[in-house]
Amino acid sequence: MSSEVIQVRNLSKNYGKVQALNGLSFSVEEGETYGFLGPNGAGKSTAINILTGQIKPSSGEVSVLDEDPVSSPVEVRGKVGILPEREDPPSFMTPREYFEFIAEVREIPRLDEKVEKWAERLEFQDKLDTINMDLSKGEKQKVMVTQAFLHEPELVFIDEPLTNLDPVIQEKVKEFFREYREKGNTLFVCTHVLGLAEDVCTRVGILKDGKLDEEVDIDDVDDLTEEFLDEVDVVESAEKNA
Amino acid sequence: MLKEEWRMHSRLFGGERFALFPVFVFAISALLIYGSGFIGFSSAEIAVGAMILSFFLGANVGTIGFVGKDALRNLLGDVNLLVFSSRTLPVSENRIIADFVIKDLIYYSALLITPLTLGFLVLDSMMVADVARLWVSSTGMFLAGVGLSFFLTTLYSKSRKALPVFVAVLIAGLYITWPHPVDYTPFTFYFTPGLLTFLKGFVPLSVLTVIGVELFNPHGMEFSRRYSDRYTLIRRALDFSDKGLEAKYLIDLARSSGGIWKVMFSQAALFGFFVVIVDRAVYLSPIKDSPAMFFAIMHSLGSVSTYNWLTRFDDVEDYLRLPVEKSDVLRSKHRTFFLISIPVGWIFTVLSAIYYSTTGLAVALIGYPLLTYFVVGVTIYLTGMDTNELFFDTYRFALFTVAITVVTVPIFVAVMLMNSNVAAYTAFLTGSSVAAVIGHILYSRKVGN
Repeated sequence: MSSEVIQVRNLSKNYGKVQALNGLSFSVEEGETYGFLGPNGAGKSTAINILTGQIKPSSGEVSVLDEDPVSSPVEVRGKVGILPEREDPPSFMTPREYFEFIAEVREIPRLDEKVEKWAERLEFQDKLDTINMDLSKGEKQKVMVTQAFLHEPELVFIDEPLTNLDPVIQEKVKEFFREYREKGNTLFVCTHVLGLAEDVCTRVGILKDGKLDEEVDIDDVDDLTEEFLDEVDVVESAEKNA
Repeated sequence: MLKEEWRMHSRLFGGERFALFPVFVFAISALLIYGSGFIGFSSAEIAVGAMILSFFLGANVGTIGFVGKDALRNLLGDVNLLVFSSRTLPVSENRIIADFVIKDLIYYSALLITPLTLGFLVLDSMMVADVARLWVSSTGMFLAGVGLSFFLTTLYSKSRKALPVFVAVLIAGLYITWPHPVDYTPFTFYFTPGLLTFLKGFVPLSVLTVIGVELFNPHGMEFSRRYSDRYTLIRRALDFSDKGLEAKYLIDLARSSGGIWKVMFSQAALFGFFVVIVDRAVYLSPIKDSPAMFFAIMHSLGSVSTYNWLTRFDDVEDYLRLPVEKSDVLRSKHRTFFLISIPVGWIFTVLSAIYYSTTGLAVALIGYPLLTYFVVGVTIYLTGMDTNELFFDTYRFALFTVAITVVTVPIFVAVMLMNSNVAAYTAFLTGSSVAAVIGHILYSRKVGN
């Protein structure tokens, strides 16, 4: 396998007349935490959905862990972890049952041990047998974070991971992301929380008008917020979205 | 809410296709009413059928008492409807649900009840005034169905102990008003129009509906409900499952409001409707001699409601974060459907045999799974997992109706016309087998082998 775990060339995606991605090209190296930044509606989630084979691109080439997500979506999703934005765990299952279900689909061994570890790390041990619909938003997000990492994938796609988490848990999650990368794994993080990108990413790409506007190593940036605002005209983006 | 409902459906199917739905209902209704008149049913008998149909249709819609609890807790996916707005607007949940029921009444009246009753204009014996009166009574019967089932489901959700008490009160009411309990429904207004029959028919059901809305509590009795791990238990019991999806669907169905009983309720409503029709229609009296086969046909059609319940709480897209194909999801829905629909259909087939006659019961029990295989094959082929929404798409609904009619009506008629039991059994089993093959072809085309 090449050291590039994600390769994207001239990727475009249209939804009718709306062009969500417009000739996007970039690559992510093994062992990186790559931050994908951009204003609302910039196409970040669309890119994740294409990279994980959930939707097909209009044109362009994509490779994830040497697999083509367009022709082999199940193989790609089998290898990676996915933490989607705005998705709750299944309403009528308990977290424990949901993890059993995930383990069944992903064929995860020694599940109990892993679940206990995650429940302890994110502090939801007492909620493991509570039906998901009765959990708070933050508790649901803890369950979603856990399911993305249960099978210990070498590449994880993460979309706005800190949503609804309290500050203590946010720090724990960020710490875990850093440790996970240090073990040689790769994280692809979509966010518009610049603080998160500064804390966990090694490199960031700034998305504008459906294509990559700039890529920088996080160590080379003094102030990511300033860099981001320089690249993205927030007012213009807001007007476009409106 | 009306605008929202219109936009939701017109966006799904295109405005014109959705707008044509009542026209299609009118055409089918006119055809059936004319056909019923032609084979000897009186206009009064057909009108009775229409009002009973409206009642049971309302009873099914009234299960919003089940769905509403989940809907108000924002569990039905990405679609965000005004009915969820009680969380963010200064409007009570009861007010919202009352508006929701009124919206459904207007919506279903325009979409189904009005074109259904307009179909009666094809009968020479029906004047415009008669049809208008029938519309009032049918709409009232629809509301009676909504009100009664909504009341019962909310009562059940609120206090399971109160339900038998209400049933006892209902039985007492029937005893007191006997032999004319139907005078306290909108049914009588059609035959004896007048202020008194209107008030007697509409006031009790309105009161019942208002009490149901007042009792409605989307948050139920419990918070932070805890369960021991049922998933592993069910998964182990289902040896055939390769990805464990079926166990999840069964948990979704059992723990959503109304539990497995909502499946029984939908089929029980159909059973009640068919019993009333068979009891009243002279031309259908041969059914009483070997009822099980006919009830098996009817309940196989009703099994669409089971598939609808099974697909109500998730979308295919929900599973695309996992290493599964869309076809895996549909295949496992198909298997779960049979796990539920076959025992439920068998129960009502056996009940029909107990009520009328056991002749042909064994054959009916064999044929029922074959017929449901056909019905669910057509349903999956046309709607995938969006059964609830897509049945309001005129084009798909027309295709569904034609496919079901072309296959099941000949079986129904053939069984009815046979002179001997053996010939009837042969016709039923042959027809059911052919139907199953057609169902399998359609299912395979949608899902793959």
